[in-house]
Amino acid sequence: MTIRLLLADDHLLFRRGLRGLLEDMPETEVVGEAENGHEAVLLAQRLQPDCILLDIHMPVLDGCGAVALLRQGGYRGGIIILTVSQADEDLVCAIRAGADAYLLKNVTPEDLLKTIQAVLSEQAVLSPEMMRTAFNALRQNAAQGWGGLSEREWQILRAIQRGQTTAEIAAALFISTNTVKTHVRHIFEKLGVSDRRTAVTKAERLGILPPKG
Amino acid sequence: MTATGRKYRILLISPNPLFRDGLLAWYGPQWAGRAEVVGVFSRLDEGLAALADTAPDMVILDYDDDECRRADLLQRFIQEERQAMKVVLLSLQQPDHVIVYDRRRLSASKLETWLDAPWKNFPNGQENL
Repeated sequence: MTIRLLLADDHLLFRRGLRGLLEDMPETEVVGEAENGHEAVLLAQRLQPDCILLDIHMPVLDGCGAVALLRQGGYRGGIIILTVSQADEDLVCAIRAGADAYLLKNVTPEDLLKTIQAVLSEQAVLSPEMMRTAFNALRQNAAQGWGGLSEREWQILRAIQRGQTTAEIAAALFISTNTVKTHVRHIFEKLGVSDRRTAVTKAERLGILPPKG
Repeated sequence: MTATGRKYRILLISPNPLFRDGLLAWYGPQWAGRAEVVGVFSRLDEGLAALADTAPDMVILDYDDDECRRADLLQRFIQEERQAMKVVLLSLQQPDHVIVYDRRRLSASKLETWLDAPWKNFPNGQENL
């Protein structure tokens, strides 16, 4: 029985080539192609592939968002991230969202096939180049708890995520609006961002905040 | 197939085996009979060294290789005396576009005509270079 695959990548040439390669392998069959994460989620619901190969950086909905939606929707098949990104936040985000493997696109066709077979045997796989990043991310997470935020800062960021205004947060926490603003400034500094929306997005990607339900 | 009836010659350079083999797998059947892949290399320097022997009509270069210096390739492209060599530059990190260098040679008379209105297409009869 062949392994039914869904491919999601906005790089047309790469996607076409990947399809050609996988269709030449007797072990695999490509049942669908998507050019963004949103399409991938819709196609996965319809086609129920055994395994999905997803890029991280895609328009409309990125790979992390797609993985999260797929898992929340009950998809139990294998999910392999296939990307050029070596960014720690992409790796952490993908793993937290529920990806089974994180491979760089410099992988060989043989190793890609082994990875597909491995994730369908409930194994997790990381590109060797990403091992150091994974270890560093784990260490950082253990050392910093809430990404270096204090408990009060985390509470305020959570309130921002819920859409509360500065005045509402101040009232809920029995502190002044100026104190809230000071905490928000510290949050921005620690996360390396300059606005509330980006702070929430980055905190979600890093797993500091749970995804907004 | 070229104007002279011979197969179009393609040289492929990419450090990414998945991309390299994938392009061959996808386009190989489509090119069959009309084009041939005269060389496949993972490193730019190896690909450049093979230019003279393989005499490609088109070079497809995936420049994701950290050691890849596009300037080297473009220098060779400019210096290349042979006619008709296109260069397609692409990257896995740039999904939106590729860069195609398509060099052409015009006779002096055609050049004069073309310079009268260079925003128009090349005149008929131009030669690729």
